[in-house]
Amino acid sequence: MVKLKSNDDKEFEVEEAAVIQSEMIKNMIEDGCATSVIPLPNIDSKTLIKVIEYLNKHINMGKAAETGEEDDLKEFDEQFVNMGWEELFDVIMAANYLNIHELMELCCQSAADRLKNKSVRAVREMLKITNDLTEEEEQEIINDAPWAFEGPEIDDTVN
Amino acid sequence: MDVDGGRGIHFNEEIVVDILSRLPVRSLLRFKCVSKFWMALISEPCFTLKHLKLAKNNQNSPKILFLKNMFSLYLSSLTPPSLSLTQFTEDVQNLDWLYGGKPWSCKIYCCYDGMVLVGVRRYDNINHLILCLWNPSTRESTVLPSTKFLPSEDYTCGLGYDSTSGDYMILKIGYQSCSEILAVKSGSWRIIGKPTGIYSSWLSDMDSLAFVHGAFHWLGLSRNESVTSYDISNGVFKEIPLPDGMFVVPDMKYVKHGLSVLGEMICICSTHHDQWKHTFNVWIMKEYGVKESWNRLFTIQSSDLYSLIPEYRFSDGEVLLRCKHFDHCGYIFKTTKESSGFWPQSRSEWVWGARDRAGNCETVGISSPVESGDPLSTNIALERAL
Repeated sequence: MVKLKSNDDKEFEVEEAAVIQSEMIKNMIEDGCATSVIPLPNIDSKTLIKVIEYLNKHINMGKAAETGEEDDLKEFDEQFVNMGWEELFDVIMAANYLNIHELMELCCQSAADRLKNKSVRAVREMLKITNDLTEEEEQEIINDAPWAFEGPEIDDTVN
Repeated sequence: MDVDGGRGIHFNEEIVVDILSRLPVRSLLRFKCVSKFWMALISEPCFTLKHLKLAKNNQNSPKILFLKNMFSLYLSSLTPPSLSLTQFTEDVQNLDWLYGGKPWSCKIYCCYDGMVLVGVRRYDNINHLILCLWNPSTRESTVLPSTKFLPSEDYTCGLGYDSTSGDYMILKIGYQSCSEILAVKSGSWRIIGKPTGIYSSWLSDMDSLAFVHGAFHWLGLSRNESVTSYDISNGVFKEIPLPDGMFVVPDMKYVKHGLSVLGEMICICSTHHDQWKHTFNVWIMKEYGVKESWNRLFTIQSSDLYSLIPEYRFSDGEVLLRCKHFDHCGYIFKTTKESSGFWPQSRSEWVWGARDRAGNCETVGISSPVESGDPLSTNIALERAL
């Protein structure tokens, strides 16, 4: 078992087989730096619980295909990314920090799917981006491809 | 969650790129308006490359581009394995005709990395064939420099990418002798030599030169009939042997041969015709350049079809075919599955040409498609009938 500590000082025990899906922790273990508790100063306990849930489910990924659990895993993944925006971003940051490739793929794809049909205004609001383009610059971009800004699928809602 | 003005939620650039590179081109063109940071990021050539690479690796949604009812161009997703041919006309995209007006004729030769090589004749000078590169996902196009070829001379051409120079290349092979190559960035055509020992080229049944393994391919007539290849990175002609017993020169039995690329492999369709039926034998060369690796992929006999071109191989092995049918104008599509049926079923719908294979990549053509070396998906061949 490996012990992880979140930035709000909560400790979690995770099976080594699960936790080595994180390249970062795998390297730490290989280098012998994971003897006691591994502190994760960038991850809060709420996010870490999600990440551990994912790691436990994806343990022994290779075996899933043999045992016919592939569909089960797919369903889990679909359910897993069914979370709020901010939660999703926290998981992306954590996956990036811990270097968990598959989780990164899953969450970035989910973020892309949610953004795909959004209007510019909606994207700014969802990602808390301040528009720093001038009106002229904006108009120029629109004039280059006005068709990309029109269409029934474009969604101005923020969720 | 940290927030930082134009960047917003404090993601590092790597994460933003990871998310954005999964978006379709249309979304990206729109999202350039989000902030200065996003605009700069999406306009970066290395972002374009990453986007293309991801699109090429994603084999989930191959697309096909085709021209129907004269001048409506459609780009559509193919859904394997149970290809529903009725879904073909889902996403309509109109070709942004060059110089405004509609052309007198249009031929789409081929597609590579989502860019399409198009030949256009205008009403005011129907003898002059203008070659253009078109990126359907950004709707941008570039007219290529004109060539030294005589306007009347027939030729066929192909589009490929030279990874050594990092440039797209267009090769034109004349029926007579002359061949020219254009490196798109340099913008000027260069005459290339003739392959030694190859007397003539047999191009009549090819929409375009087939590009695979860094080389263009077509059927050549030499002492040993073969596939002729021209490697663009080192400028060398080579010959690749045909399967045993196959001859390029048509005799009484063999009506014709077509060379194309199917799933990154050279593919030859030989059409054998007798009184009542056509027999199509499709061969692929599983290991590039190795004669023993020619494999017969399938044989189709039909009394209704008189031409067949394999277009795309799905992951389950089923192949999408573009065919000519005695009862239909233009082309019809079917698959190798017996029960596939065909599309379009209505005789009033004409498909003039179509084609895919680039799989599915979409392009971020941020600047001109030429400069950024952008991609999209597809490929066609059509000749407008007036």
